[in-house]
Amino acid sequence: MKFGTLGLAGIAVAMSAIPVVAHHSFAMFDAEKSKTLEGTVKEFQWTNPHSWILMTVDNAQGQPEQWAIEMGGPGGLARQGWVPKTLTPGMKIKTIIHPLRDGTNGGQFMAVTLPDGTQMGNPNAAPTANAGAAN
Amino acid sequence: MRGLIVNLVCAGVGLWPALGADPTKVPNFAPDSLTGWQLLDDEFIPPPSGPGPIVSDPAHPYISFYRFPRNPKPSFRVADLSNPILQPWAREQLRKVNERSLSGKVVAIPKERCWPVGVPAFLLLPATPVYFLQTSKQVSMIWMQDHQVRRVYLDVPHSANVKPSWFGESVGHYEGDTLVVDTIGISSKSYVDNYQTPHTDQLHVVERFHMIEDGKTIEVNVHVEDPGAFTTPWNAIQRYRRTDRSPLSEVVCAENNDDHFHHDLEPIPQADKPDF
Repeated sequence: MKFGTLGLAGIAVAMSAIPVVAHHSFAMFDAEKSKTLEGTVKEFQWTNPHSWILMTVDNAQGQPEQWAIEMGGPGGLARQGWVPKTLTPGMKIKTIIHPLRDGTNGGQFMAVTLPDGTQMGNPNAAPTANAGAAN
Repeated sequence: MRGLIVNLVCAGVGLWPALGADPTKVPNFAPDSLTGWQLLDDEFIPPPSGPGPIVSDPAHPYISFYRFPRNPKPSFRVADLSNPILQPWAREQLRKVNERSLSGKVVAIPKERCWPVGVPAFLLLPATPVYFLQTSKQVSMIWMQDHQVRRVYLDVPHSANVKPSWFGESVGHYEGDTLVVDTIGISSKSYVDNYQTPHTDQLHVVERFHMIEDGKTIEVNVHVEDPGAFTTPWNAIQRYRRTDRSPLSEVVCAENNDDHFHHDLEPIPQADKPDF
């Protein structure tokens, strides 16, 4: 069957030929801005239609606040090497997001640095609606 | 011929429609289980002339996040209320949707909140392909990203008393290389498009699906009538691009689709009490 012989590289090429595959518009995010968050994983939700990273991040006053970071669905993430336990509660991570335009605590996933220094995602992706959200 | 059919069945494909049609002429939208049809955008294409669908207000153009993925400023929709197809009540309802968009709030459309979208809005489901299943009696259309399925019953008339349903009652037939689908009984809880243009129970939609560009594209010519909502019938066009990346896989919209950012979005479908 054709699909089985494609291999990951073939799939990656095929994916880039098709435009955005997200579940809803990303107009709520500011794709011209990047924001870095350093904090702790509260929860990693490996679900459709979008996976989510819930993070606890200290604000400027040192008080912990919750942030919600939206990613693509598991299908696309798995193709990029993610597994359900790539992030686990308590992990100290640094994420880069496109923040919500309304300034509240949320954003679109761009990249993350894991405790061992591994980076997933692409912090320098051009401002496309596909960044970190391929499905 | 028998050898061909055996091979097709073994490959897990839909059977050639055979009822009263020459299989060499009837369009085959599903030659194998990998073939899907992908929208490049979630908007209707206006017809070359005559009354057409609701489009975006030129003063607030809709920057489609699908059509312009590299545009850093996609926008939510603001409908062009000057379209003469609108009855006054429909225009007023659209104006309220516009108000939310113009106020800067997030506007969620039904498919994002896991609601069935109805007809012809089914033709506006983007991002993942639509797969066809064709048998001699029925054509099913399935959008991969949620459980949105249309069933078209071939070569039969409409029921005498159609009970409204989300996707209505579709009957169809082939005319040469075209699948003609006639749909009535579409629940007025649905909208005809992604601007959330309303309709009444008089909505009647005729769609003609045919392949162009050497089988690389399905073009759908859409004809919409609803004297309760529109001043005139109107037409629209939609085009799908063929893709054969992978077979249909399961994606459940309602799996984890809360309002994570607290944007006061429409709730996903819920049942407060059992239906039985």
